[in-house]
Amino acid sequence: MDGPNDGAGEFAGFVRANTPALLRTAYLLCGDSLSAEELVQDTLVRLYPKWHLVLAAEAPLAYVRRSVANQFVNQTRRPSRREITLETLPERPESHDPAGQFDDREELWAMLGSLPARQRAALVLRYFHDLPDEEIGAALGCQLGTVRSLISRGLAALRDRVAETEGATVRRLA
Amino acid sequence: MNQNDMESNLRAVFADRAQQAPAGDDLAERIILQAGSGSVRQLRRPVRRRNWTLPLLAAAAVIAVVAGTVAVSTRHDSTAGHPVALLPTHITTAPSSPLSSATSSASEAPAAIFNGPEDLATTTNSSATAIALENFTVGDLTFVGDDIWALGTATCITSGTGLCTAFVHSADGKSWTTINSTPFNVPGDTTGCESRCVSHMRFASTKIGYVYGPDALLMTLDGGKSWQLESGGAVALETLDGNVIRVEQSAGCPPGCTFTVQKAPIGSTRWTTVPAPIAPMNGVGAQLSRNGSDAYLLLTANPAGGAGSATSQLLSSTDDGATWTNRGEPCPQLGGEVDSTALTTGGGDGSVIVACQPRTGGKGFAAVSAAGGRHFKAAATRTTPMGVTAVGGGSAHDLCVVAGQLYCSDNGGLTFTSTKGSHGGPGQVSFIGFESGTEGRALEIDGSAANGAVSNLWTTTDAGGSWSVGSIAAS
Repeated sequence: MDGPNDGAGEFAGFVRANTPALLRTAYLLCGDSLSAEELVQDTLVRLYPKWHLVLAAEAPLAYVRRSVANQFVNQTRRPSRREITLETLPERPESHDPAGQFDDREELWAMLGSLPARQRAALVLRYFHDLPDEEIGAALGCQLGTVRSLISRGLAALRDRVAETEGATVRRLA
Repeated sequence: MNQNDMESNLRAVFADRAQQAPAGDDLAERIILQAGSGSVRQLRRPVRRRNWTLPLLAAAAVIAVVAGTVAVSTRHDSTAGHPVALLPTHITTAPSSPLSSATSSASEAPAAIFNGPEDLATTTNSSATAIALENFTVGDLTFVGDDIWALGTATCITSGTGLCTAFVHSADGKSWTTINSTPFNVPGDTTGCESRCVSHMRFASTKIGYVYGPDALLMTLDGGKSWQLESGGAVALETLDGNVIRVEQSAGCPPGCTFTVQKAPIGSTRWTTVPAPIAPMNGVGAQLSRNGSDAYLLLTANPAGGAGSATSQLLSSTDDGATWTNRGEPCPQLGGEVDSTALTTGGGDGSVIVACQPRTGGKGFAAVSAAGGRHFKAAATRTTPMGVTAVGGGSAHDLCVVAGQLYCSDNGGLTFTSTKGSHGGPGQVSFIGFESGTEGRALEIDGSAANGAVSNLWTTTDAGGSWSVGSIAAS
């Protein structure tokens, strides 16, 4: 096996330059800061022994980002449902939210947490990173058809959940 | 909300939330420090995917080693708190309708609840006690995150002689506890394995798991404290993505087995027979591997020839086993009959890896598909050791094969290096599997210890480059 310590300087430079970007991806995948940091740290430390492969990639940042997504899918066991527990109604902000989008986006963010890991990862890679299906498939280790299925099912699940909450009372008790 | 609105909202949500992500200044330095120190933290989260299989040939080889020491006896240990060989006296089976063989039919097969002295439905596990087993030979392993279960035989504790079925669990790979009074037997058990004989297991979560053999399938919903007997058995079974796929074989085989594929939701007894892409599905063995929504079933042919030009068949599914496509013989036929002997999917990149063995003998080779099993490319000809019984791979680039010993390659199978010797890796290996692109496990049965066999679990976190070891429930 190749020695793991070649390119230590390149590794450090890459990490300092790109950790914030990777954290954004990880945060969207995991939903919280602590898990996101853990995910990025685990991924980069595991890649370190094979850093020559990262350096040889056409786009090293994209390579590592794919590894983050893959690691997320591999390591995460998602709860089947994440409940919002509120004892009081959230105050609407003073600033206008004429389309009622503030609450919708909060709800949508919470609903994302209830999706299976692969669906969530596919949605993040498509709608935040605007990756083509081929690259999403490479990141998640699946075929094109599966990518499209993941995105379709993810969107459908979110639409269904939005439909369930529309018209329902907002208040949920812990 | 229509699709366009949903997509727009998603983009907005992601853009908003990304701004709330941590900056990561301290994190970068921690990462650099940790990588430079050479330590790699273990994941604390459960691993979602497990995609290895224990080929029947390798399993038989392990059990055969154990069976050589077993004397046929009617004795059995029955002291609670220790591994026991179960001698069932009475089983009540609820009336069950046979599983329909019609296409896509479903039937509810009520689970059997056990009565009598071995009342399995109400069997509760005695308090977990760390216990060292003597002569523990592991037949199969299953992992969910850091949790590990091992199934095999060990010296009966009460009597101190003979071999009893042993079922152990660890939450960290270091301390082990026995799960008592298991209502199944494994080959090699001194009291025999005529009833509820199982040789493999898979856990889908820390609570839901399966033990199985060709004629028996049991399911637990409480981490192994109690078990339900299901209809039929399985020669291959894998859990992933919320469902379980099993492969059953016809009675009275091998040779000449006919296989049926069924699936069910995790934890359910409602099995559905899935349409077969080829009819009949024949072979001498079946291996199953899964990766995400993809599943692969390898029906191995008779390696000794016969039955005309019997060849292996690879079936693939992209919808968790609901439908299958026949990909034919995956191994490139290099001027003569070449058989597939083992199958796995790459833990990191989902590639499909098969071990190929020329029927006329000589060295084999590894073949890899990055296209869902549609096309396979031989890494090189005649580079693997003879008699490959299992493959494991982090990716198409990093793969290992078991041929008695463990050999690993970091160049897609062009060359293989033994993990034993100066690398301090596993020797005689019967099990190999990768959880991710870099993290893998190998099971070694070390028969050189003075007090009998010791099962060693080797772990790699760099795709086979280096290994660390821990003994399983050893005395």
